[in-house]
Amino acid sequence: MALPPDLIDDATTEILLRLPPDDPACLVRASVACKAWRQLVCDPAFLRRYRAFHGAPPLLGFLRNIYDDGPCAQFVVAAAAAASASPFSEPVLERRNWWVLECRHGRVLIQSFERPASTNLLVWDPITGDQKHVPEPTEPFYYHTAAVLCGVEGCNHLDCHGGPFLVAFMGVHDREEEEEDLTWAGVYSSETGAWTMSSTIQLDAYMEATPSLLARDALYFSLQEGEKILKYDLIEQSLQVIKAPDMFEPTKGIVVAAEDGGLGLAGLIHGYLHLWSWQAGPHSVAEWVQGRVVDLCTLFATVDSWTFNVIGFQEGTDTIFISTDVGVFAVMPKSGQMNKVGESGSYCKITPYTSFYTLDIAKGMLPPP
Amino acid sequence: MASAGSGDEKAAAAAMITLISSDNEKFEVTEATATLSQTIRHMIEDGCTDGGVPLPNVTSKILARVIEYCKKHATAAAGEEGSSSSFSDAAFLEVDRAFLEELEEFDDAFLEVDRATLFDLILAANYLDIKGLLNLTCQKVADSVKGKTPEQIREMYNIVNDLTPEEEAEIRRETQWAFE
Repeated sequence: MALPPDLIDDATTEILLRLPPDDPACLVRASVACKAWRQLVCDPAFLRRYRAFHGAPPLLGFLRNIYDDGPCAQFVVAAAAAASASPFSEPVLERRNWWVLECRHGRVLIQSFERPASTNLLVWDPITGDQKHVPEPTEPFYYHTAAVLCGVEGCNHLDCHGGPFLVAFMGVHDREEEEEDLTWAGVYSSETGAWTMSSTIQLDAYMEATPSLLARDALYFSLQEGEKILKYDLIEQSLQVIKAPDMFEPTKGIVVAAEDGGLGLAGLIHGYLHLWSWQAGPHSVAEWVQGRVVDLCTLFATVDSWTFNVIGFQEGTDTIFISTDVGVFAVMPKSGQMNKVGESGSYCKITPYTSFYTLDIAKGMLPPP
Repeated sequence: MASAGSGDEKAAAAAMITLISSDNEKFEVTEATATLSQTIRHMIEDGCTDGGVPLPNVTSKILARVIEYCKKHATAAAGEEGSSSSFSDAAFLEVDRAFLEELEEFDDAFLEVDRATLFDLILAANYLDIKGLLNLTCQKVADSVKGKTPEQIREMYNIVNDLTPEEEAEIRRETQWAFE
């Protein structure tokens, strides 16, 4: 049976569109079948359709920090991508003297301890290998955390690799003469190459450099092991502190998107994953509302519940990452589904890396912005 | 009474469409079945279906299968409309679930065809613009391409490799990780 010539056009497009994005080798191998398939897989119009067809970028892996004779960042390839061939040379990619703050929109924000270095902050694209140094803000700080995001307004974030980005930096400044510490926010734009200091707030809290949550034009940072949440409104450029629900105080909750797309919190209590959402109350005073409760002991029947840890959240989904002594699992509370994404190990927090890995991005053949 | 009866008959008759395959076989189908095809829907809207709809790109063998798919899914679409307008009580949900399961089983059985038929169905679904059928058949092929090497893909689909050895070597070098 010969392949009908028509199948080379529309129908081939329809077939190749449906190759799974979380296993990027499929599309690459298909591109070697013949010239026509090659042309199609490299065609910017096809790749735009491919990304739009699949919607949210797939999980390619996650990043975590380990301390082994010094800080070290690890990129761990997600199970689905690792089952086939992965573009990231090793199942685990290590970078000594790097500390991962978080990742978003295909970029990883790194705290670098490499010497000599003009700056300690850098934005790394693991697919193109591109590294952009970000000068440190001049304001003083002794605790800090930071977030990275795409800098294009109205972007669908399906392929914003290489485009302009923003870094939001939250610094806590110890003022010896005052009772309370001062927390300030600054935003760096890669387009202007400059920091804009935007807001300050009186705050007495320890700030961890853990991944933030971007929800409805605001960034949320966890403070004091999830006891408080710092909100930075990207539109109003204002800071606000939100107290976590009382029951979460000792349980290390993490910020997640609630089902309505706003701020949420996920934490563990005796083997149960509790979800909360921050909602406008009756007198337009926002309050915490209890949402789903997922029984992890039933989900992981053979695993000791004391080994459970909530270690990360994937934006754009309802996926929460749970580490156990048998591996790292992605749990989807809405559907009650879960799947293994990594081996067991010592995990504090992870930041999931999601992106399409198509040939145009991989080779840096980006259309002009 | 008589006029009402003839009116009903007229409506029923008007809701039937004749499809004509490339080998000139005629198929009578309801409008609800035929309009799963966007191509035919537009023809009906433009009022150019009198005397039948010639489909010169679709053989009777393939058209019969396509109609079988459309009939099943048109019933499903009608069922969905019915249930969404009624209260969502448990009994309805149960019926819906059973129906969806039945539909899935139908789709799985529908795909049990040889490769040549599968390709013909893709071409027909593409030409007739039947979204569900196109998705079903293309996903089946995509799933079969998934874990394959370029050599296996070429063999499965009788693709002639027209890349020069140099071109192929270059591509493989650039993306070596995908071939390990």
